[in-house]
Amino acid sequence: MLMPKRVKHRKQMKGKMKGSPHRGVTLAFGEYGLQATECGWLDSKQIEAARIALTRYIKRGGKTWIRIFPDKPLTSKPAETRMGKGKGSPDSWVCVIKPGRILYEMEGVSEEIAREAFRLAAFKLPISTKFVTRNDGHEE
Amino acid sequence: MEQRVLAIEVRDKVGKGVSRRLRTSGRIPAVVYGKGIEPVPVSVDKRELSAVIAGEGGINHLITLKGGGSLDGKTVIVADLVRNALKGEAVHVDLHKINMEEKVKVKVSVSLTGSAKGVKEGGLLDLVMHAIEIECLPAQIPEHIEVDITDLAIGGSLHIADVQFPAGFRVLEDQKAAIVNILGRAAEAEKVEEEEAE
Repeated sequence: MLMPKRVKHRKQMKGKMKGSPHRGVTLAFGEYGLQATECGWLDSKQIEAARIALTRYIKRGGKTWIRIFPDKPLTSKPAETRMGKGKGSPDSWVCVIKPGRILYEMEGVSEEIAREAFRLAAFKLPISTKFVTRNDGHEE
Repeated sequence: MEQRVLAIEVRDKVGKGVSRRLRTSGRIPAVVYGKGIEPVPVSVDKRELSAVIAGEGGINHLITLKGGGSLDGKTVIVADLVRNALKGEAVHVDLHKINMEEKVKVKVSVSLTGSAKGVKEGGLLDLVMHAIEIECLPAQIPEHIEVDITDLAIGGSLHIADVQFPAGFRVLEDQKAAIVNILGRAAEAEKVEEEEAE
């Protein structure tokens, strides 16, 4: 699963997700893409699950790119622990997604296959997404 | 490439409030600038702009301005187009006044011709460079750059240096940069690997 090799600080504050992304909103590599239409956190397990769903459907036909990286640590306290005694320990890694962000890209398959693969991948994600192509005005 | 006409209106007010009101009324804020003129804030009709940049040439079409006082009849090119990330609609456009005698830098899309030998053998066509940046006279800007991939086998690549560009073109990309790759392994190599696995 995707995670940083090393980080400057082990724990981070929650932060905000308002606004729109400044980068990563156009298709840079492939012909088709999956674009987030709302904000949220995607953790490394969800990113991996969606990637597996994509590659299973297209088998060995195409090429895919993951355009996001989970670089924000989330912490959690152990079960049945009383509140207090400081912040919990790092538990998972998430990526902050803002509306418009391209999550995955694909090339080397027909539009029908790409559309279906992204539909299956979108089920693994906790945010709403849409299918985009270079012809929609989403190219660089 | 054909020259298209775009009607503009000079706007005296600038700022996000004015621009938002313009967008709700179906117009898009724009600016015209270039050598020898002061930047002029203008507005264009949304549908008209979409029609002007539609087609294969896209934003590389030469545009003749209509209206706008001293800007009437000037030839411009879209230097920058800001789009809404979700809807893909134009939000703002920069129009660059050009001199037909001076070369301009544009990104021209790549069009693949023929079907690669490697793809027929089971390889995957990987278009690495969707557009090539070139420098040429405005009248010479092509709609697309044709790249013939018929002879490409599995594992093969076509680089910038392999493509014949018309005279007067200066390619601003690295000569060694790949345009297209055919990914995958040859069918015979796969067969041997499968047999070994069995």
